[in-house]
Amino acid sequence: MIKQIEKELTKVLGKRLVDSHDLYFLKYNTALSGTGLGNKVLLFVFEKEQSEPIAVVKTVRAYTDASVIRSGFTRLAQLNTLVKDTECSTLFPEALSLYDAGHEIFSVESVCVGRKSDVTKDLPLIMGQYTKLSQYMQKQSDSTLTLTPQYGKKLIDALEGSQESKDYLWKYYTEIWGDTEIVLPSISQHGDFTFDNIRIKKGVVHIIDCDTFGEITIPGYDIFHLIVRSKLPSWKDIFFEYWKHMELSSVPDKRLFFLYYLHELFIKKDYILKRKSVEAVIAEFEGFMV
Amino acid sequence: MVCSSCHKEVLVKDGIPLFSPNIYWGKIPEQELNAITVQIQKDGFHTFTPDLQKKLDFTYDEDRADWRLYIPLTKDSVVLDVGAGLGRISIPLARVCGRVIACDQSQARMAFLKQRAKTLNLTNIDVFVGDIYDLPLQNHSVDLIVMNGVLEWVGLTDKYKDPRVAQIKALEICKKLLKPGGRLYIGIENRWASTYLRATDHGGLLYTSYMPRFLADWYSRMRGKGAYRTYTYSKKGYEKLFRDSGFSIKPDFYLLFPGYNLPRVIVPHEQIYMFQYAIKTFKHSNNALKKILLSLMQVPTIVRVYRFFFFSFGIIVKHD
Repeated sequence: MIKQIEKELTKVLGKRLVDSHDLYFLKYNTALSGTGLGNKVLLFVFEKEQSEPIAVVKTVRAYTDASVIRSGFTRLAQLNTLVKDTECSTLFPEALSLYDAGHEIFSVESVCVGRKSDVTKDLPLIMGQYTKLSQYMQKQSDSTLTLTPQYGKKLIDALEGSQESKDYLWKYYTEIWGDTEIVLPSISQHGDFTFDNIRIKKGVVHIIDCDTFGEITIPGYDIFHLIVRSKLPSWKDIFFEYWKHMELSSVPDKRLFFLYYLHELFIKKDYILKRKSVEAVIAEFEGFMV
Repeated sequence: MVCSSCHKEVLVKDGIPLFSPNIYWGKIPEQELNAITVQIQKDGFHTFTPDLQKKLDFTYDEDRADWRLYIPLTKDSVVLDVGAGLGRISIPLARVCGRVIACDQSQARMAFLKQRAKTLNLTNIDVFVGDIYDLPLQNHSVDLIVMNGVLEWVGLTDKYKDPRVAQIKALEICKKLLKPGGRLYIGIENRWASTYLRATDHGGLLYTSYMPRFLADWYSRMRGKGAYRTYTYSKKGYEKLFRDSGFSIKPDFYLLFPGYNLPRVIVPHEQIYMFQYAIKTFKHSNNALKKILLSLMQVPTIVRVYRFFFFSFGIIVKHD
């Protein structure tokens, strides 16, 4: 594949390359979610003696999982189109090319360089940028999301795991939900909004790993995701501030946090949550509820 | 059975040809591994619990062969995985190559790998019990040979008195088996790894890696560990070893983090700035001392020197 990657990079990056024959690759995958067959493998592309990469190539270990690359690239390309010529455009990398030969696949993206964001130091900056992005997404979508009991049921049904655990979730769900519904604006969520995926360079925020952008559209999910993965000292203030800035009429309650929780399970980002019961997670958030 | 390549009579046990005596070592006793394989055959791979996978070197992880992204391989490529173990390299390679020949000195490990390949419907993996010196393969028949965590142990053979000679002979065999333009991949420790200041090397003793060979040998015998035969080398030492084995093209060295068995980050050895970028971007610590050390890594000279004390190398040697 390496020859094909070099060829594609020469085509895509063209004049931006000093010497297309002198490309070097730094391979990277995360320890927690990058070692499996269907996980992405990243190759950061460097020119000789350069301190920062000029692009990143994403691929998978077997073509049977090509959809991971295809859908990730498509979502990023859609996001690029959505934020084009706005102040949010610098937040994200740029989808440059998708190579799919039927037996091997990879995508090429620009790189958002910068240091990994710091939980304590960068939070106000990140939240400011993220809120602006959410407001822009809300304006663009201009649609509402009606969360009915069926929404959660579908998620529970689609979960992997034993019938017993699903029955337990369903019982809890019916207890807290009843026949009610929640109406909220539909706002595209990043889907994996963590400090690892936020880079800072010279005070500018970059959000990377946008492969699942827009899959979830329930407002607040990204903030929930960020909170449960970090030891944030004042998460209630963060959530409240976000909710206030977004001018959301509906007050978040148990039902909404339970849906966030289900999404965490559904996208299998459960390495933190699996250590806690649904009641424990929701009880943590309960203090926020009015 | 008579081997079609070497025309020797070969013993076959449970469908696995035995070209050399069965030798086992591992993280669990041989009997336990055999029992696991029987259990899997009977009840399926779901009985191979996550705890067991973790204990057995993250058996299901697919990243150990990620260095293959640096090598031009196709659906027609033939790969020989020497010391294939439970298949952490053979399985990922079989997904992208034409044929994988997996050999190991342990029958228990080969039985496990055979079962796993069958479960995954990977019909292009052949397994046999064999030693690098008794491989039943024709010359110039292989596109890639993998020796991950193997070359350092080759010196334990009783076929050659000098461990270095044993390593050279093994590499010469690899060269003969490779097709022109084929690659040899070696995953191995660095003799000067800073890790060896606080951890034992393959001989089971502290500091032996840093000692001159004769001293390490004497010290090892004195401490009741027997002769010191598990040689590792510095980058220059490996380069010389390959030259002495007949490989004329200069090998490509890669730094593998955290090690060659879990190559999460792979950086070409020569690319200092890339290495600095990797440290800056992917390595974090809340420990004050580690923070200082990491910030020191932003000085090019320090990184340039540090590479020579890095834990492990991935080495790709091309056959001319």
